[in-house]
Order: sequence, then structure tokens, then C-alpha cells
Amino acid sequence: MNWRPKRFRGRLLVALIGLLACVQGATFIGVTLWSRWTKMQEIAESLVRGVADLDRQTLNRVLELADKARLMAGDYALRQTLLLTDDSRTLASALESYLQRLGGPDAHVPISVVALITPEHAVMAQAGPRLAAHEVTAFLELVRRAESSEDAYPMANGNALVAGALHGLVVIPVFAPPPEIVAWLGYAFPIDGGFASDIKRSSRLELSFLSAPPDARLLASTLEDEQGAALLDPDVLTAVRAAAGRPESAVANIRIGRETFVTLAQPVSMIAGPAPTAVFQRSLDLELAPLRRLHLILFLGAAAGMVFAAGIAVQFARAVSDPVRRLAAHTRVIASGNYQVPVHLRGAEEFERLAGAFNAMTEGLAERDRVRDLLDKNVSPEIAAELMRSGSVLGGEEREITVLFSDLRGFTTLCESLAPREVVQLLNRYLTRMTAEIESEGGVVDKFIGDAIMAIFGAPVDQPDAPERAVRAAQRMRAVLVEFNDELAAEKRLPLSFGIGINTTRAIAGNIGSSRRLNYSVIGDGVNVAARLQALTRQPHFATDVIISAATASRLSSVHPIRPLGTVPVKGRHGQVEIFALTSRSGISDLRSQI
Amino acid sequence: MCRWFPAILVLAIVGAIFPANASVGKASRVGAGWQFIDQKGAPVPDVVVSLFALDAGVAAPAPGAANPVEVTQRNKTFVPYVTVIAAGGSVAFPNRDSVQHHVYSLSRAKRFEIPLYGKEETQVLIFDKPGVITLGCNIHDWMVGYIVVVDTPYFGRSGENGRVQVAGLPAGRYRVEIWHPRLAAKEFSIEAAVPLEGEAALAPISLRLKRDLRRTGPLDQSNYP
Repeated sequence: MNWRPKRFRGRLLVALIGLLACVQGATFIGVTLWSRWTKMQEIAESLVRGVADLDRQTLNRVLELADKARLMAGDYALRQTLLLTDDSRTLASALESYLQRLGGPDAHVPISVVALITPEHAVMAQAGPRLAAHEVTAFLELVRRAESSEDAYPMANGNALVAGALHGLVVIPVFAPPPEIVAWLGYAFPIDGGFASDIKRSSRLELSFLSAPPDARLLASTLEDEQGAALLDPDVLTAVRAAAGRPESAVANIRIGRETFVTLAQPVSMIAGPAPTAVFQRSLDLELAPLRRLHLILFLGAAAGMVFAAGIAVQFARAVSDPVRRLAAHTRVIASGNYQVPVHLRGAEEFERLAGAFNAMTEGLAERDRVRDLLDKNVSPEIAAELMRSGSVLGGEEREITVLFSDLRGFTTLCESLAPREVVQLLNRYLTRMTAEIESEGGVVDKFIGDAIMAIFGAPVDQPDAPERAVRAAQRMRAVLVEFNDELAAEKRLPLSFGIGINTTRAIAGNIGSSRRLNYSVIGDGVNVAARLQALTRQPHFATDVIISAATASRLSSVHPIRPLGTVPVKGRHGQVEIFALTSRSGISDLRSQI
Repeated sequence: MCRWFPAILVLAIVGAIFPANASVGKASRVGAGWQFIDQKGAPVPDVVVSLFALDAGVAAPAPGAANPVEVTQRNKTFVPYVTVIAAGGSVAFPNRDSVQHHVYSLSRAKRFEIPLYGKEETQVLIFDKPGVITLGCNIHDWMVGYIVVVDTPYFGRSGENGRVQVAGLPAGRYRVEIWHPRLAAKEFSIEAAVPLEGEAALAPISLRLKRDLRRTGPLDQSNYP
């Protein structure tokens, strides 16, 4: 019994903590996923902005250089040089000075190459690293694009590899005077680490340029050397190039080393030839780092919440289980028959109501027990049981019963010689013994009428052998009376004798009386016959103390010593009744009565 | 550098209405005339036409030593915008502005410069090589002018109404080369036959021109000394 509340407490504890753990876990996972998702969205947006940033930065450089170059191209000295010499070495050396002026090492936008191109598409002179054939081709392609422009200031730009490094190429016209184009000025500015760093400064993105396959080279990068090298890992490279093949703004998560980078790869449009890949990246781990603190706070909060919940659960479980336990203990008290102690349950109103109901029930039980007790004492247990079963409903059912009537002889004389108290004591002793014998045969004492006993067999409980039982009871009563007389003799009292009449008849058995007071009894003229038969025992010529009717005698299943007494008229009955004397086996009783 | 200069002939036969066997060699007093319009149908001034006889025996008169043609600088502009002269002719560059000019050309037909010179100063240059010479001023970027040197005595330049007249032509068939600073085609020529009498009245010739990208300098500078 004791494990039950504990188990309830345990269950409540597990349920509450489990529920809290589920909620906290779901919150934790939800927050983690949500923050990761939003961070990725944020990064994806910044990556898309990064692409625009690259374009804008490139355009800025192009325009800045174009403005500078425009000033140069209009310079008298350049015209003078062009005017006076066809000497390409002089021109080249002049271009060297232009290169320094336009974009020397200390310039905002450094320049690698300056070339002067004739309208007939030949490189007149150049400064910087010697241009390879494909580089010249790239410049000439830009010249063609610029020529097809309808702008007042025709120019063109694009990207190309110069000396193996990624460069932005720009071509602007040399007017003499406008719109007469006497030459094209081409220059190349490096798209290198410094350039990528500029992008990184404004966009906080890592930017790398990967060479076009089959080459696997890092053209420029803002990544640390180690991570930059990791980008060239064949698997990573494949992933990045696959991402570059996807439509714009499609981002991919690519692991480099131990970090996850949200990556947006875009092909770099080139004037000609295979396109390198611009790789915009931001470390997701770095972005999520501040969220780790949030995770810690969430975790600590969850732990604290669980401890708190456990406390609450224990308290709550105790609040429920304690009254239950006390009530269970009290039930055992009630079961033992102690109705005196009421139970008091403190706590929730429900428990107080339960205690009230329980106490009311206890009172009801006590009341019923008292009633039952009284009933048992006033009526026979069988009748009491029948009353309990059928309730106090008036009326009855017709059934065959056997009625036994006994009456003491000379009781009136006895009453005169004894004090009333002694009479009652004696009567009680006599009745107790007789009742015991009747009940031992399954008979029911219907009532005591002074010294007379009326007993019923076959009601309220059906007894097919009721006549047999009644006759046996009569014989036992005889035997007990002998014993009782021996006791009386020892007390120096006069012996007692009785007469018994037994009749079997159909009668109404049931609750008889008023609605306020009733008896379980039997009614029928056969009942009166039994009383009359008892009265007949007083007639000396019958010489017997027990007379049974033919109705009873004919229903006896075993052989009993009976003696026919003939037929007698019975008072209150029209017909004659055949009667028999139940003779004693020993003959003692007969003898005594005759004495 | 002189991209407008014809090198290859693109012939368009428009002389069907003229007899192919027109008598040749006789000098006549007839002339030829054209009108040029652009894509929008507006008359095109400054179109240079130069005629080259296709029939053998047409004597081309030797160009006489004429007085220098003037390309003045006025309001920081070359006037006229386009000048056409026969090869061997001379051009004077008088400065009518109060500011100095530094006229130059980087064109292959005549590469020259006249370093800074002041008001009413002038210099005469001889242009003996046919071709288009683009004139510029080293200190005024927007100034631009053209001298077209042709190797023929028969040439003309369209006026504001887009019309051009070439007089004193011997009868016969001619290749007519057409040039304009904004002509989209690199070379453009037609074939024309000049009859013995009367004037060849031809339908207007539509030219596809590029956008006019000429810039103008600051307006009136006459207040300056």
C-alpha cells in the first residue's frame, strides 16, 4: 500500500520534468534552428549584396581610372609625343611615366599595364609587363567594343588574366581633337588581394577568386593562407564550382577545414576565355558564435526550470498523496469498525469535501450498523437479512411454510411464586435455549408471546424440508428441556414442561403491520391451526407434548415415531384435522408429561 | 588615321538614265548637282564630293596655284568646319580670336602644329597629299575642323541646304566620292554620268550619319581683350 503514493509522486515528477524537458528541448532546438536559419538568410542576403558590391567597386575603379586617363589622354604632352615620334621605345618610356602618374604603387587604384593602341588595332607601345598575345587580344576586343559605342566618350572595360593574375581592363579613346580618335589608351588594374580586402571592408565578406578549370589556383583571396589553401581542396573546389553553376543568389554551405562557410559563387565574366569564379563567403560558425551565449543561457534556464519544476512536482505530489494516504489509513480504521474518529484532510477544497463526504459516509455506516444490530436482536437473522434485502415494503408472498408453536405449562403459577425479575431471568434462559435449537434447525423465531414461541420454517428462506426441520427442532427442544430441568433441579426449582403444535400450510409471508411499524410474519389460518394443536397437548388423553398435523406428517421424509391421534375439530376451522403425536424416542418426555 | 579616306571603291550605278555612249572628251560648261539628306530627311551640310573621271582621255586640268584658302579661328571654332582643297593647295589659319590658339593635326595626310599664336597672326601651309586632315587646338579640346585634300579639280561642299554644285565638268562618266565627318560608312562613292548639255538632276542622296558628338566651348568671349 505504501508504494502507491511514492509511485504517484514519481510519476508526477517524471511527467512534469519530462514535459518541461520537452518544452525546453523544443524551444532550444527551435531557437537554434531559427537562429541558424535567420543567420543563413542574413548571410545569403549579404552575399548577394557582396556580388553587387564587387560590381560597384569594379565600376568605381574603372570610372576613377577612366577619369584619370581621360585627363592624361587630353594631355598636350601625349599629343606632342604622338605628333612628333613614331619611335615606340620613346612612346613606351612616355607610357611608363603615365603608368606612374596614373596608378603607381602609392595610388588608390594601382595600375599594372598601360598600352597605346592604334585605330588600326595594333599596340603602338606599352608599359608594364610585356603583354602576351591573348592579353593584346583582350585589349583589342575592348577597342572593338568601344568603337561600336555611340557615346561621346566611347570606352569599354572587362576582365582578363594579365601575367596570370586577374585584372580589370579599360580602354579609353585619345582624341585629337574629339570626336577624332587617334589612338586608344588601354590599362589594366589588378583585381587582387587588396581589391578583395576593399570588398571585405565594406561587406565583411571573404572574397576569393578561383582560376577557371583545369587550373586550380587561387587568383586572390581575403582568406587566411590555410583556409585559402583548403579552398583548393578538390572536393571543396568541386562544390564551389558547382555552386557557381547555379542561378544567381543560390547559396551553399561549404565546409573548409573545421568551419562552415555560407558560400555564393559566381563566374567572373571575362573578355574572352574560361571564367574564373568569384567566391563570396562568410563563416557561419563565426556568425553563430554570439548565439552560443544565448544557448548557454537557455540551457541554464532550462536546468533551473527543471530543478524548480521538480520541487513543485514533489510539493504537489505530496499535497495529493498525503491526504490519500491518510484517507487510506482512515479506511482501515473504519473497516475495523471504529466509527468514532472523523477524518480531517487539509489542503485543497476538494480534499476537504472528500473528508466531509467520508465522515458522512462513516456516520451512515455507523447508523446502519446500529440498525442492523438492533434488527438482528429483535428479529431473527434471516428476517433481518430479508428486511435488508427487500426493504420495508408492506405485503408478502404466498408460500408453503411449517409453523411451530410452543407454550410453557404452568407458567402463570410460576409467575406467582417468583419475583417478576426472577421470572424474566428464568424465561430468558428458557427462551434462549429454545431459540438456539430452533435456529440450529434453520427455523426462524417469528415472535415471543410471553412464554410462547412462534417459529417458522420455510420462510423467509425457502426450505423444501421445512416439516422435517420443524419436527427435528421439536425433538431437540424436548431434549434441551430435559437438560434445562436438570439445571433447575440443581437450583432447587420446579421443572418446566411445554406443549408444541406443528402445522404445515400455505400462508402469506411478508412485512405485516403499518407503514411506520411492521413485522416480518406469516398470516394464514394454518398458522392458527398450529396454535390450536399446541393447545391440544394439554388434553391428557392425547398423552403427548408434541402434536403435528397430517399436513406436516405426510411431508416428513424420514421415519419419526408418530402415533395417530385421530381427527379433531379445530376451533375456527370447519373441517376436521387429522393429528399425530410425536412420540419421544426414549419415551421420557411422554412419561414425564404423563406424570 | 584618316579613316574617311576612300581606298576601296564601292560602286553604285545610278547613271542608267544617262546614255552610256555620251560623247567624251569635249569640254562643256555643264555641271553636276546633288542634295544630301540624313536618315531623318534633314539636309546635310558639309558633305564633300569629289569627282574622278572614269573614261580615259578626259583631260584633268592641272590645278592652278590658287590663293590660300582660309580656315579661320573665330569664337574658338574652326570656320569653316569643313574645307575642301585640291592637292597642292595651301591653307591659311588666321586667328580672329583675342586668345591664342595652338592648331595641330595628327592626321597621316598632314601632321603639323602651329604653336601658340595670337590675334591676326596667321601661317600658310601647303597640303600636297590627298586625305582628310583633322584639325584640333591643343588648348581648346572642343575645337575641331577638317581639311579634305582631293586629288581632282572637281569637288564641292554642300551648303546649309544640303546642296552641292560642281561646275565646269567635261561630259562623261565619273566616280563620285562622298565624304562627311559623320558618315557611318568608311567609304562611300557613286558613279555618275555628266551629259553634254544641261545639268544632271539627281534624286536626293540619303546618307546614314553617326551622332553629332561635337562639343561647344564656352559662349561669347568677346568681352575679353
